[in-house]
Amino acid sequence: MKHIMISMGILSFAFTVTFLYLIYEKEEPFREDAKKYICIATEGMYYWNAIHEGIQAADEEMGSYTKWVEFERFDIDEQIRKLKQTQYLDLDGVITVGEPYSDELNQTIQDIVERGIPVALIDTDSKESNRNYYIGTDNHQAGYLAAQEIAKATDYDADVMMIVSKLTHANQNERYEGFVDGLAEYEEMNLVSVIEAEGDKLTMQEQLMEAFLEFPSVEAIFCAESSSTRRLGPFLQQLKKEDLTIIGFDNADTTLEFIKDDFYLGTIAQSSYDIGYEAVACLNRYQEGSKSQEVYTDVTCITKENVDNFLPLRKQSK
Amino acid sequence: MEQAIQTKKNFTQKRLTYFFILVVGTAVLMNIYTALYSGIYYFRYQSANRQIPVFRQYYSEIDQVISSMDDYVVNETDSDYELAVATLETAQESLNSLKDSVEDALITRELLDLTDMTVILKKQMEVVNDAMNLYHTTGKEAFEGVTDSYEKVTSVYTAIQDEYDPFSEMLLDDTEEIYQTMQKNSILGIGVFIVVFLISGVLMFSQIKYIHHSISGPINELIHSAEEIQQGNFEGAVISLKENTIDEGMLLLIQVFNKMTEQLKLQIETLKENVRVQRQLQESRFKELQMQINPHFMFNTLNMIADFAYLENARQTIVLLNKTAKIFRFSLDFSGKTVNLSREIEELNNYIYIQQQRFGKRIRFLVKMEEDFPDIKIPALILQPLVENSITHGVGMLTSNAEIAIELTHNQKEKKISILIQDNGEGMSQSKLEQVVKDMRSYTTQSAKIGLGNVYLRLKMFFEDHVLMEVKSKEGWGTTVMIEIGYDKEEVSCID
Repeated sequence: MKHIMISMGILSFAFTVTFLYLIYEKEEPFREDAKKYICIATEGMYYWNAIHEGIQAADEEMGSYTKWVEFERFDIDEQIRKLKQTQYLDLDGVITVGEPYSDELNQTIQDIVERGIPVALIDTDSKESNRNYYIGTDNHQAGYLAAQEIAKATDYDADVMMIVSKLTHANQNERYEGFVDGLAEYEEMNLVSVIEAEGDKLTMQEQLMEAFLEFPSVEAIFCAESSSTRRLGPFLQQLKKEDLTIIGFDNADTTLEFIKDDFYLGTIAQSSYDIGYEAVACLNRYQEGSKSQEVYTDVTCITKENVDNFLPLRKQSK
Repeated sequence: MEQAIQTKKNFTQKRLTYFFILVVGTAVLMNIYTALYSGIYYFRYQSANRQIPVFRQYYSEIDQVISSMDDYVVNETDSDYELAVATLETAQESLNSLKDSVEDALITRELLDLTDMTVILKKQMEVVNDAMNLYHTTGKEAFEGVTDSYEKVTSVYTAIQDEYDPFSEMLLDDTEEIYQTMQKNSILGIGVFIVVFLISGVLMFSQIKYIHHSISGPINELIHSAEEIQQGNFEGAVISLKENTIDEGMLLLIQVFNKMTEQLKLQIETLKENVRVQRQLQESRFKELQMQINPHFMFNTLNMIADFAYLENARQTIVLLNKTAKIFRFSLDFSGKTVNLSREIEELNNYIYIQQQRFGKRIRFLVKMEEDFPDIKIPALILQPLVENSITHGVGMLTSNAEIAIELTHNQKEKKISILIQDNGEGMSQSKLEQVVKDMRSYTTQSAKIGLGNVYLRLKMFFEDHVLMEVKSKEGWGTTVMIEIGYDKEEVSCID
């Protein structure tokens, strides 16, 4: 009888433990005293998804809640509308993307700051908006790094072309300046042309065709923008121009595949996860008295040597 | 042994009960587990599902609020404003009920945002109402205040509407997540089921093995034992009870089997002994038959001698020969049979006569018998060997005054007779007497000597406990043999 009792006891215990484990709710209830932030950012793309992940990780670690609101890229009106709607909410901080050339956006951000709500800008800074924090890639360094990589690959002697979305965009401009500074270190490196693709495929292709005709000596291209980087490869394959030294921007799937296939030399990768994480960390620091700060996250150059480290990381984040 | 047997009581029954409890217990536990688990998840899933209609209801109520506000501003009807406020209050209630049922932190956060915006909407509606009232009192210039404040209402309304898509997505995601967890956990649950089944299966198997062992083990031993018996090996056939995990019934079976084996062994040994005795008996009969041939020759010879004696007119010789022949005939005819005491005495007299002729005056024979002596049956040739013993071992060496007295006394009351054979011969020493008595009492049919022992044995066999035989002797004084026989009166007539 003793044996039966013991066996049944063990079985019941195993069942109870498993049952409780399966029923147990891992979710924590909403904490009333938690800081509430909102992040109004662009949708889609790996870069922004990684930022979102960084924000979520920081939230979990620091016990804050950040609401993720998306607007279409470059639709500043929608961004302004969403930012204005924050006045109806009880918020402890706002994270958004800056644009120094839009006075209306700068004004909207300033309004929020004046209401006593800290604003952290990510990706693109806008000092005119009176934002509290900027967290983003050191774009000057990104351009500089790209120049160094290209110089190394071309034995410090080459005609180079650069593709940007628009030089009037602050981040593009900074990358351009960084790139120019980088090339200036080597006498034989010449930047012959800068193409403004304006985020449009056809524009990029037309300008590229013209540039190739005008400067047939071009040996290397630095594409300082994510979408053009993705579009450049297939177009060059169409043109049968596959012997160029190319440094791209951001680590999209196709970009990484091109690096793997030895087509692109490399790509400048931003630490977007860190950007998101640091944004929440800054807003939390505001609560502790730090009122203003600029945080630059590192850039790295992904080449064939380390591309494998980024591919599985991509799959994880999906 | 007895203690060990006690612990085996109901062994199989216990094991079967254990097995049964395991099966039923596991099944019951699994059922409870499944029911509870699916019940809880069904409840969670249902409550998450119920959130979506409430959420939609809130939005349709907000729509109604705005359309009522539109009517109020356009038509300037106070009832529309009252309707709008009332609808907004129900919308707030919907939101509160939603807040109570939501557990997810991010959804709660979203709900708080909606609540805040609804409160602002309400305040803004009051601002519009105030502006309308001002417009009514002051006239057209104040209408600008109405449009300004109403624009803000629309702005809040848009903000609320902007929340619809992400929020409904969140709710659907939450429901989906519960469903996914349920599915994921049910796979885990199946894993647990399998593990539990394996564990209890191993336990059940061990029970079955125990039961099987407790029955088939003894049966195998029984079979082995039976084979040993078949080959005549009784030593290896006894089953030793070294196992302490056998069933009570099996134990009984083995014990009975062991007893049976021992009895069979005993019977076979008895049978062998019987066969041996039978053979001995046949041998002795054969000898007996052979021995019967000699007396016939002897009688013929004696008759022939008697004829010669008659021709020679030797009367004494004739009488002697006749008496001798009678004795021989008697001993031949009645050897191993019973005779009447009277006949035994008659034959004793014949013997005494012959011996008297032989010893003459050297030995005096005295036969005394009380009157009305019962003529009981006794084994033949009892007295003659005793008298012969007295002559050979007692008085045989005496040259004169030897006396042998045979005295038969009778106690009618106790239904006892006693026979006394007394001689005045040389007697025996105490140690010799003891030896003689010992030999007499341990006499068997196998012994070669005929004498005291033979007589004693035959008397004992015939009268069993009703006979007493004693020997008394003293060195230089003589020997006395005393026989006492108890008899049953009805069967006995008297000697004339």
